[in-house]
Amino acid sequence: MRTFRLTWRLPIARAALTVLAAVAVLALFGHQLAPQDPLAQDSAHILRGPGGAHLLGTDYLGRDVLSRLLAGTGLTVAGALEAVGAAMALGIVPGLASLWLGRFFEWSALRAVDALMTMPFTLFAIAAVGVLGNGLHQAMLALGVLLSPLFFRVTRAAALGLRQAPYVEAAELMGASRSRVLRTHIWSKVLPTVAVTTAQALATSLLTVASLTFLGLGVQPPAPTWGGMLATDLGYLGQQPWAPVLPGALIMLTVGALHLLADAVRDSGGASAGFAGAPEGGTAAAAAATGTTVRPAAAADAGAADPATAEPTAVQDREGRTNARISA
Amino acid sequence: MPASPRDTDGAPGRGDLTAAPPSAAREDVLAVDGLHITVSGGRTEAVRDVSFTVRAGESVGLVGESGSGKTLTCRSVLGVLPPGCSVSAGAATLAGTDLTALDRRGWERLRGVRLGAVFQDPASYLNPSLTVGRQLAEPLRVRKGLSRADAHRRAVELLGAVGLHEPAEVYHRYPFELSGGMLQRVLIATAIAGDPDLLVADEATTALDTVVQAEVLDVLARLRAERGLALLLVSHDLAVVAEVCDRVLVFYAGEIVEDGPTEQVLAAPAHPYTEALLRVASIGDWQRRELAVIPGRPPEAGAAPPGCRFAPRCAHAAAACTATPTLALTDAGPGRRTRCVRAAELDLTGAAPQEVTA
Amino acid sequence: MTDLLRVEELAVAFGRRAGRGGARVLDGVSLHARAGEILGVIGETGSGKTTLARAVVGLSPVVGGRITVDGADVTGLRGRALRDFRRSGRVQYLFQDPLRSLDPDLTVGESVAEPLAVTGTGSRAERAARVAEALHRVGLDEGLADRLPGRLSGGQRQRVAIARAVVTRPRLLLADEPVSALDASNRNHVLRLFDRLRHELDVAVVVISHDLSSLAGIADRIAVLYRGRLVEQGPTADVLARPLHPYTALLTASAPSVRRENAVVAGRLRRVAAPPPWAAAGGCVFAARCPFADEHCREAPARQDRLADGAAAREVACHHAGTWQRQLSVPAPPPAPVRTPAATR
Repeated sequence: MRTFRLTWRLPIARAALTVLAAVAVLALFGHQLAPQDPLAQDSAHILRGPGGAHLLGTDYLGRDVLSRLLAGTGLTVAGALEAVGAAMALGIVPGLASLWLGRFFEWSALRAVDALMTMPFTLFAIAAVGVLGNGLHQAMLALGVLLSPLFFRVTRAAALGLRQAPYVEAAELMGASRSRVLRTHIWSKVLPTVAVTTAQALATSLLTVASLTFLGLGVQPPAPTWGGMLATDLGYLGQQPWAPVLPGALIMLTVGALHLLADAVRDSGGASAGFAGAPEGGTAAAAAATGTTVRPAAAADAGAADPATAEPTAVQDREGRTNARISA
Repeated sequence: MPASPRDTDGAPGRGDLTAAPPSAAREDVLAVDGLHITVSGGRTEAVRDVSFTVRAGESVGLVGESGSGKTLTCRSVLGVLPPGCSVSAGAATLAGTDLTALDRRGWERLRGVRLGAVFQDPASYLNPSLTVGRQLAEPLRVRKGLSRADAHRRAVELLGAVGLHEPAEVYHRYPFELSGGMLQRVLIATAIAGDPDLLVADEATTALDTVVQAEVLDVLARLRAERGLALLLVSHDLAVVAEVCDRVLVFYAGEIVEDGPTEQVLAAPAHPYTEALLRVASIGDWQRRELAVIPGRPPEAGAAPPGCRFAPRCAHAAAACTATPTLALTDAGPGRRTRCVRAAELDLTGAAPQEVTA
Repeated sequence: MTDLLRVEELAVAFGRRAGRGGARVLDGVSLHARAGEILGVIGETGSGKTTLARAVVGLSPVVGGRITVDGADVTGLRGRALRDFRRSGRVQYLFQDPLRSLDPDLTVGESVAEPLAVTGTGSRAERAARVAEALHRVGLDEGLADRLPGRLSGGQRQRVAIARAVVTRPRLLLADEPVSALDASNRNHVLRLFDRLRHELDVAVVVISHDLSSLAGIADRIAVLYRGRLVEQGPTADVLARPLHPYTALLTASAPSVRRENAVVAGRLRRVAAPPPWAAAGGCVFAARCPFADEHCREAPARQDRLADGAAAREVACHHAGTWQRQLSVPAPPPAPVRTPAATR
């Protein structure tokens, strides 16, 4: 929670959230906000420039570009959200469960994830659409499946170090149930990492939605989408060279805002993790004086935000102690 | 290769284990004069007006609570102050070389050759994927230009010198195969490989078990006796300092509050804080007793209360203690200094008055 | 007075071969602690002292022996029974590092209230009252309840951890190296707190430490562990002043002191030659490092034996208990120059 409060203090995060809020409004109310019917064709005014009745001009069928952009937001964003939602459901829950449900589940889940990670996004979505029929839902669910390893790995890595944390062990010693431990101790530490991943995954899937609709997959014409508009506008570059800029700019703005937000959350998380790594930073600096080589884990990752880096060091500590016992 | 004059006349012969008794001329190896260190980018002053010297073959202990400035002082001598910390005033001189004026290359020439250091967590200073012998021999080849065979022979000698059993065997071990005490000995061997003038041990035995700690302290004491090595030992534990050091410097809130020969300081402390430290330290008679504590807390880092910084916690505090903005370190007998205005009138109790002559 | 904690012939082994001849981390350990008593457990890294405490709360795999807490057998509790035992709050375990044993995102008040919240004890107001009482008991200001652990000093954090332990009104408190991260003054503060708590709450306290001086001041009795075996136990002052086991003697002689008096003795208690080749096989665990070990020591493992030493009951596991000290009084070899050399050869 502290991470999010810290995030809000960053101006860049506020700017990104403002952009995303605007996109959300467009997504929800785009149809109502559209000044004209986005599907209405007007053969008398095709490929008009901005101005007059059509603020951003018209396309090759005489449809209002502004209305199509506004109305197309919903479908594009909904597609991206659907994919990320599916990915989260398929990734986070097994990611956490893999730490508790025994070795067999852990092993199988890890192998399944490895297999999924080898698939390329767009090709897999095209194949899924080919098998399941052309529709945005099919394409997005396929994309969600492919994005789920990201959430699986990130959640698992973040929670892995926490499972051995003394305060988690302390809670278990109080007789706390697994779900209570998850809720009070683990979730708040995993959440910032998940938030970063979600923002990045949204950006990725937004781009994938755009590419798929650009290729004409998932959405049946004439329904407007950003990617679809980009595709049709490219066909009339001769007449309207500036037209693809409009949907392109919207995509860039949204994706950029998501990435900036992800960076901001990560940076705030790094600030809070900083105090734990500080003493190691000190030793790393001091190592120079002994003229010996510093273990890279201690030197480079001392202040790193990623909880996953904390884990190998812990393992080494444990091993170190075991070995001390053998050779003492 | 190092180009300082000290290296050309002082080093030969010192590498031999059996020779080299402590040099008769007790010149200053390290002289720190009026050192001030600021932290958090210069906003707060964590160490104020620290002056002391370490002579050849002498062992000096810096003792104090965490945050007292002892570690910062020692790190500034090593040139490894943490980011944001810097020496704002004063000088530190290592046998003629001004440490405060050194650039990065200058430090590189100094460290591991004329200046050795050992820290708390030995495992993090060794590469886990190389044998300890190789990590010890490599600097010898690079810095001293020894051949492969000579470097190996010398490394085994060094491992033996720090009290490791079967040094030839240990040479081929990886760090994870050795215990904490053995690793600390390996690091000491690395630190003395270049025949340094000064060995700095920053909480070097804090993480070790009691028995191993005693053994490592013995190794340090023996190296000092055999090689005339000057030793600067930093510890939060007065008892550890008492075991190995000739002279003790007591730090409190960034200042030296007392300086003197260990026996005298322990037997008759000249500063109330030293007395308080002695009361809370391990006595070693194993009797049940009411454990003493020092009331209150040390001032926040950078806070500079007027006059004596220990006054709020001191049982002997008087109006005079906080009357002046800063207190000076004043002489309190031969070789002793204290930062207490009431030093002359106070009669403080030591740990073992009956053993002053021992 | 009955024993609150009773450990009999405890054996712990980790790994797949546990119980089937795998290396035992603890073997044949017997000790006990009464209500209102402080038992100190001392040993070096890897001696099994932490494993011992974790075995009592069911965190170490017990492969032999019995652990009884307040009359109830808690050896190898599992599932429901283990959770119920833990929820009863009768036994509390204090972790070594107070910073890491407190959730950095939970305020002091939330952390201290957690054992109560887990079991659903009392209403919100009642819990708040008990948290305030616990904080007061460990000498912390109630105003700290809203702070995060990151904003506390080391000594305060350890007090918060202790407050969380006493909030359930435990009968037995196990503290694993509670003061190793603190400076001398704070260390004594916390140790005095244990001393007060055992009187106020009539709780049995087991303090684990590698540092003799932190135990000497408060422990009534002391148990010395070496490589998974209990080598000696008895009243603190007796054990430390007149050790019956060479390892205890080495420990007391090695402890740094502000008085220089025991330097020579420590050297004489160390083995100066390489350990004998039979070090690893059966026999006494300390034989390899013991300067007094002979053939007998290598053959038979030393058992914990009860000795009537005056009025105090003492136990020691040494074949030469009571006789090795005589070898020390033999004139010493020529004294070493400054200090005795360490294990050189």
